[in-house]
Amino acid sequence: MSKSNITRLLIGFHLAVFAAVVLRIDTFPLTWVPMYSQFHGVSDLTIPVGDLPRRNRGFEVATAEGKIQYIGAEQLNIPLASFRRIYYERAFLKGPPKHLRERAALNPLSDGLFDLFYADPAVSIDWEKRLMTMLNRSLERKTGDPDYIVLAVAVSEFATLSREQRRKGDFADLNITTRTATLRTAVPSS
Amino acid sequence: MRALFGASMLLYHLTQFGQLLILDPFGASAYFIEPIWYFKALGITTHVPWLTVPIFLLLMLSTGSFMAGYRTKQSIIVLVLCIFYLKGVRDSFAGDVHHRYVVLVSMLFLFYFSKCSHQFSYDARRIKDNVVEEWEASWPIRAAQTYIVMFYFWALVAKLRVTGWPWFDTAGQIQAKLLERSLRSGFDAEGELVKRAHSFELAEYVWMIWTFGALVAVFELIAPAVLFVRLRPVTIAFLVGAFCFHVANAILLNVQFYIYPFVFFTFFNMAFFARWYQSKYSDKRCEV
Repeated sequence: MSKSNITRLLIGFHLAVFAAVVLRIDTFPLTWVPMYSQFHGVSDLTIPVGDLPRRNRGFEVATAEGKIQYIGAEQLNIPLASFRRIYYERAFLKGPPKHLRERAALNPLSDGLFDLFYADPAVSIDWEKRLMTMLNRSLERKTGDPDYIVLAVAVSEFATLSREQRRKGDFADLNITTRTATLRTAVPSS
Repeated sequence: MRALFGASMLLYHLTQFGQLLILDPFGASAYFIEPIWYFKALGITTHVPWLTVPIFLLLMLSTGSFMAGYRTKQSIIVLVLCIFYLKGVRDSFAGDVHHRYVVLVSMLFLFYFSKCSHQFSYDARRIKDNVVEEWEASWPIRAAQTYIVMFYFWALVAKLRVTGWPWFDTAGQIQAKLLERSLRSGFDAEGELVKRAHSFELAEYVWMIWTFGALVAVFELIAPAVLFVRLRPVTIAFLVGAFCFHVANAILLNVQFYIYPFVFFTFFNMAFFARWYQSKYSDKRCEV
């Protein structure tokens, strides 16, 4: 390529990269480098406390015929890290970081631009429906099958730490609470 | 540069996609809960488990041929397509989009349009005019350096844009992530943390964490200076700082990005190596 063409290429490359940063476009391979930029603990900080045996066992599910099963990463044939996010976040209706920060403190231009293509994913996605669909379709269970999953339960402990606690570095009391996520398959309306 | 980059990528791919290789190729075809954007556009909603290993092998082969400078441009295309697919699979299971291939794919884009295959490569044998002028050798390196350095600066900008100064509070994001990652695996029967207890202990030293955060902020703020101040101590300080940053993230926060520093090869003077190589092997044809 000639020098002038390389110059045009570089101008285009840097413009595209810079535009992604300015407009906050985080669509691979463009990005505005937002990783870990959103901090959720300005007041209280709530963190899931893992339980490896429970997580390895997976979701407690009930089928249409009333049987109880456990569906985990092995049954779904997905990486453990992905299952962890599904179990501790999606089951509790929390989306991925990309969704949560996408529209946070966003300039009106970018907000309007994104709205042309899709609604705010932080509030528009029905994670309950998505998760139940994921469980059934992954295991090839259809509506009407006796083993169709109609209920999925995830249980997790959460530690809640106040800002004052964290500023003192005092973690003797993690204020642990147990939450249960109960997800149901939507019943088709007749 | 091409050979070093390619060799490092071989190891990098293993660290990024290893978790996909251990899945059962004949097991369940997981339905993606949130497909990545190009999977949505193509209507790819389900994992094809038996496809992962062949695609990964193709990825490694194309990386190897890129490293060797054999059919370099074609290798880059295949390599990038494989990255898109495997990364798409990994990110679509739960919807968490990782950014660990953004810089690499951008650098491969620059490599594609460069003359990286004109020397120290198998392709050099086929190319009639494999003279590489100084500007032709330097523009992809300068562009890559700019991109790598600005990545750190933009990270600082992003923190301030989204969260502002509370990010750097003594009870800020770094402490929060230390706690999150240490509590992720929970406690054992004796009440001890299963993993990363050191991260939990570090979280108690709020002023130490604040100092780390401040150092990172200063590092990210002045990172662009390395593009203009062409002094070796400055460059070395930047590279050492970035290396320590990524290693610390891996040890304390389990951020699997510790091999990323291989991109810093772009800051080393490959011309010195090239002259040494040619003086040593000047009777032999240049290969890799």
